[in-house]
Amino acid sequence: MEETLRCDALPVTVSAPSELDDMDQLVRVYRARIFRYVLLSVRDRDLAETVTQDCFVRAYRARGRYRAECSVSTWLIKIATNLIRDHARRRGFQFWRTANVFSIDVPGIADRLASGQVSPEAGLVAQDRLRCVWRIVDSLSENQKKVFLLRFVEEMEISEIAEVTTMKVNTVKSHLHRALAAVRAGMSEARL
Amino acid sequence: MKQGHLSPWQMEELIIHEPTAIGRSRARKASDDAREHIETCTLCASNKEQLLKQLGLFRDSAVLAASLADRQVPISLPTRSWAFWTLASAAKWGLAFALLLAAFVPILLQQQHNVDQKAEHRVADQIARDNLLLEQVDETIAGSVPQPLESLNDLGSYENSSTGEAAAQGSR
Repeated sequence: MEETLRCDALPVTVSAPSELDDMDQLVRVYRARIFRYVLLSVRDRDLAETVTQDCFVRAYRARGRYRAECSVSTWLIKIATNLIRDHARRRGFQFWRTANVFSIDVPGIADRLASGQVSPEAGLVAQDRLRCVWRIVDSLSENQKKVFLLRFVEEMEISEIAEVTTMKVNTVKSHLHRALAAVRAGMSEARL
Repeated sequence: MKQGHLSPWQMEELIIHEPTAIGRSRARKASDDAREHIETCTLCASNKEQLLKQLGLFRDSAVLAASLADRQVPISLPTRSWAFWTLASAAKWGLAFALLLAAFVPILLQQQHNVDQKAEHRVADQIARDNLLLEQVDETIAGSVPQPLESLNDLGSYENSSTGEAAAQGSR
């Protein structure tokens, strides 16, 4: 698959030298972000590491075809999204494989985020809210989850999300509206 | 706006187009009415802040959870050209095919040898049966030919002996 992007809506001026000239630096800068995006999408740590490796290998091989019409991070996320889709198709045939399922340790994460600055009651409320949001996000459809993660975790623009997911801008917004509505409804239902 | 407050859709529009934490300035702004209302309505502003706070908490938890799960596996990039890897892949498949052939060829040869042996045995058996049959036929013929005519059995050897000698034997 040719890994070129044509982001007509986002003319980007690239300062020389290009980021792709130093692949080691590129890996250092973007590896954690790509791994995070893939891990939250597939919820399998081993698979996330494999896809992250494949993403940079593919970027390395396609670096000559990079047109610099989009940011490098958007380009890498696009490659990762395609790889996630390819792996999902292949996994359908690999029924013997057991996934190394990645689950969120909500109490542990909430404690770390609070870092002892809140009362125990507030800490428990924060844990409940966090647990509620994660439950709601896990219940979203694949497309809604994908755009939700890209917007509210990776903090990408709507137009960038549309390029990465090959959806129209209005479709992206529609998915985001539904995802946010689900979050708001879930939170109010839990009275949080 | 319903009853002087933002509708759920308007609130969601504000959230979707909220500038990101890293300060991107290209975010498309939500409608001016909604933005102006937020600046004057404490309830809607509070709802918006609460939702943004919740989303921020979600983001922080996602970032932290992913960083804790990250085993920092080093990324190894290919150092050789595409042509090399294509040839390497072709060589790998060729070697696998050759090994497969090497494993199956002796089995096929053994099977062919077994078939040939069976054929030889069948031919030998057939020859033995034919010889037995011929002996039985000879015995039958010898038994059925009357004694005075036994000398006629020697006609087969007439060409090999002298004419007079054969004729003298026959007149007796």
